Amino acid sequence: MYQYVLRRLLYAIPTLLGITMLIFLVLRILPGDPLSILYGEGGIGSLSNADLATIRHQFGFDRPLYQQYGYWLKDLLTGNLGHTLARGDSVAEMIQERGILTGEIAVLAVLVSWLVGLPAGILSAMRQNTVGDYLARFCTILFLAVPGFWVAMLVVIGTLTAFNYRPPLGIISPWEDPIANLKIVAGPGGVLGLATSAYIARLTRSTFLEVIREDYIRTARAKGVRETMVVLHHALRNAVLPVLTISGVLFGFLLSASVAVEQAFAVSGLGTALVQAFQERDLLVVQTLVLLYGVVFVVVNLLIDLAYTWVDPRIRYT
Amino acid sequence: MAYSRGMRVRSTLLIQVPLLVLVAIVCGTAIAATDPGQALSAAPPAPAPPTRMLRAPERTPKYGGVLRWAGLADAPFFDLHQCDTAACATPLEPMYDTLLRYNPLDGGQTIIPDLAYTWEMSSDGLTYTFHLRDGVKFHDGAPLTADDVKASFDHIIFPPPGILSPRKSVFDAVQKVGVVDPLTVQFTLSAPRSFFIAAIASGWNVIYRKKTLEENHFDLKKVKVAPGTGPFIFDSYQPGQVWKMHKNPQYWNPELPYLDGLEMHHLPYGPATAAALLTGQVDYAYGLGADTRADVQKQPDKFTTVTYGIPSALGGYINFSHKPLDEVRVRKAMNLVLDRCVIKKSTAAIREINYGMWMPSSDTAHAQAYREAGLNHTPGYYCPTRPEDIAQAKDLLSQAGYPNGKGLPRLDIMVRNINFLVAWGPLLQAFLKQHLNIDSSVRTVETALWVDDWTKGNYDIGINGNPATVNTPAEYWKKWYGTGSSGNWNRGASNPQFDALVEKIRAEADPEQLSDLIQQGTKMLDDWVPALVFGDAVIIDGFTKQLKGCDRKDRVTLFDDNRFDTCWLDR
Repeated sequence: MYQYVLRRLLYAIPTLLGITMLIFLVLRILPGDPLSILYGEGGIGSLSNADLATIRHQFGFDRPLYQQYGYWLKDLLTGNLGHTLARGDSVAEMIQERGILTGEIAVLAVLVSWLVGLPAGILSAMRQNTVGDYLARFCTILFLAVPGFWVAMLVVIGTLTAFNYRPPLGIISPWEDPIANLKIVAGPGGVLGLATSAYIARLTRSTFLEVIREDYIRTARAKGVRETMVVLHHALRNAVLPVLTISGVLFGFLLSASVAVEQAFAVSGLGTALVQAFQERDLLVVQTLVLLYGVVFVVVNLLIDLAYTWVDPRIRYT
Repeated sequence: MAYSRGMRVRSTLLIQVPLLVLVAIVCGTAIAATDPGQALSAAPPAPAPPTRMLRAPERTPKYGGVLRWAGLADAPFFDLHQCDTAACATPLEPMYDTLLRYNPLDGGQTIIPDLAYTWEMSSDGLTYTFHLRDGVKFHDGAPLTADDVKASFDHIIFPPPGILSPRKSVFDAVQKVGVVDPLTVQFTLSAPRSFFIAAIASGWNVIYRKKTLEENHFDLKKVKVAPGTGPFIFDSYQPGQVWKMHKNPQYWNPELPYLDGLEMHHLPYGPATAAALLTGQVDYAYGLGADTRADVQKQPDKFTTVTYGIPSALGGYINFSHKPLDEVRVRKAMNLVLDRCVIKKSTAAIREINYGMWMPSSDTAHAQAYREAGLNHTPGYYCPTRPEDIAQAKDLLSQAGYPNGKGLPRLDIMVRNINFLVAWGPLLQAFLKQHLNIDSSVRTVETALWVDDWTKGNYDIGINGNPATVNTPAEYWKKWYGTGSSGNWNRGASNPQFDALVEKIRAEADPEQLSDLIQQGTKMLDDWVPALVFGDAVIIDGFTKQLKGCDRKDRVTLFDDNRFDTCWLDR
């Protein structure tokens, strides 16, 4: 087991290295001078070319690309995530502050997707081709088809006009004020959760339909086991394995989808920071955040794989 | 009177200089002629210190409470001298003072003393002497001296290499900033500048400590707690979120501030700020957006809304270096077919603007008569566009060798990707095609890319906004249309005659002469057409009725009165 974990972690190294190279190169290919954006038209117009060259040198923009990449990797390996280009804010502190919100949103979304998607999928499978099944399938297709940020905007406008409600401003950690924190993350978490619950529901339905036709389910029913036990104890544990797999993939989807939904709810998570950094062409922040998303995705999928052994004791990693 | 020694001075150029002279005489100080090349003139005897201070206009303002403000507060960096956006000005200005200031009690229409309690101008208008208040302390406890003022203005006027100074052009005539004694500063000019006092009072020109500037190699971009002398002291800052400040208990004006603190939340322009105001999360919302103003106005018992213009020229900036746009008849033809009322209406739901003319409506001192006389009375400024103006435009195009648009290349209209600007690209395209048969393509460009193409001149007509520092043609005409100026860009727009006229305007103090020169300037611009001006920007703020002491109904400045020291909460 430990060997397996170690091996997976080793496999992750080239994956993450590939991510660093890709994001580093893509950002360098993109047009747009960071200094022009940082200083604005008025500011940049007040500088001579010599001044601009000096500033570019100070920021290290005039170094060869391989050197810039090397310095970035070296900083990462020594735990130095650097500072934002303009204000010099610590990127590590920013991740610490804002990452909590984005993490909470993603976890909340996964919880909502399970709480909504699993029962909907099970009921849909158990009541196949009934009104309930059709209704559940209609809803799942609807949630799949409608973009999350649009639903988010409807929720924001709806709650504002109907209840004169808007989530609290700023970043409030769960330790500082749990209720206010929940108010901040509930909207984006709920919207993203409903969107992903559609995937969960559809997958649960199809796997459940397969599982409940298996011999051991028929045997259990023949033995007189109660239907609830058959569904929850025998069928669900086997049907949930693909759902676990897709949840890992969906977690990555949630991280990327949170970029738009955070914007819609004006939540200052990492997604908002990423958009802002991108607009400001703060390359260091963008590449660090994208790498962070990559690390989270790799780790979450490893954890999902390990969770298989808990859900299905027959699975063993050697 | 609510402030010291009756030294309220109209910022309007029409009466500014004569009044300044009057003030100097009233103060009993000599008006000494000085030679700009010589050493500093002897300090005039310092007038008696002020006995009355700025205060809220209400009889019994209440102390206490924290004002929660929302709007653009995500400063790209922390050096007000180097910054050029409202996102710096609003959250940072409450921590600092300026030599003089725009009066917060009348929306910034007049100029009143601040750190300098009085000042004199020499009879030739080439020397300005400012007397500083005694006993003013920075937030770190250090006393304010003339050295700090000199270091601050040197930072703005003569920035070291690599230091930005987007507004240094307003001080182009300043030769030297000198220290006469620890509480007296003298500015020596090479030529008179009628708007000099207005430029000095700009909210951007805050006074930093000389020591702070030196310790940071004159670059405070990353120094978020550079000590100021202002009414509020920095508490904390969350990037992209909120600034928190508390009252300065040692503030030199013992009456101010009334508030215990400020919370300045960063929210993007438009519905987000309105939502925060409507739900009671903030007391003041900057930049409501035209679409959400109506929602706020539905509750007149709870909120007040204020609409004010800022000196700016929004429109199509013509690239003179691309043929045939160097041909004046082509530019004049394009200017004649613009229906500026349609342009105004096109973005009315998201961004209110004022009707575009050569002088913005925010310049109440000079523009009012010109705008009233021009709108619906001058070719090109009729709503809707007159058939005879369109016919004249067609004639001009034919005379230029492009009958019915034939022979003209397809124009590249580059539009900066800002919501209201985006609407104007297709509109300009339609006017040009419909009336002049000029083909064009519209290219909407992200700001990140815009600045690159903009500075390199990769466009035929660039649709953008252009703000100015001081509300006078002496400043904004030079910035927007002056040869080689920072707001004229690298687009080849140069008119030596206009430059010479603007220089005369910059030096002219006589109101009648000034008025004549400005009139000549508008005619020259009509004949030259350096840009297609669509409008000037309008900002809409909303705030709770409980906010008193800083009623901004007549506000004329965005960047200059953000200190909130006279504001109080009636709770």
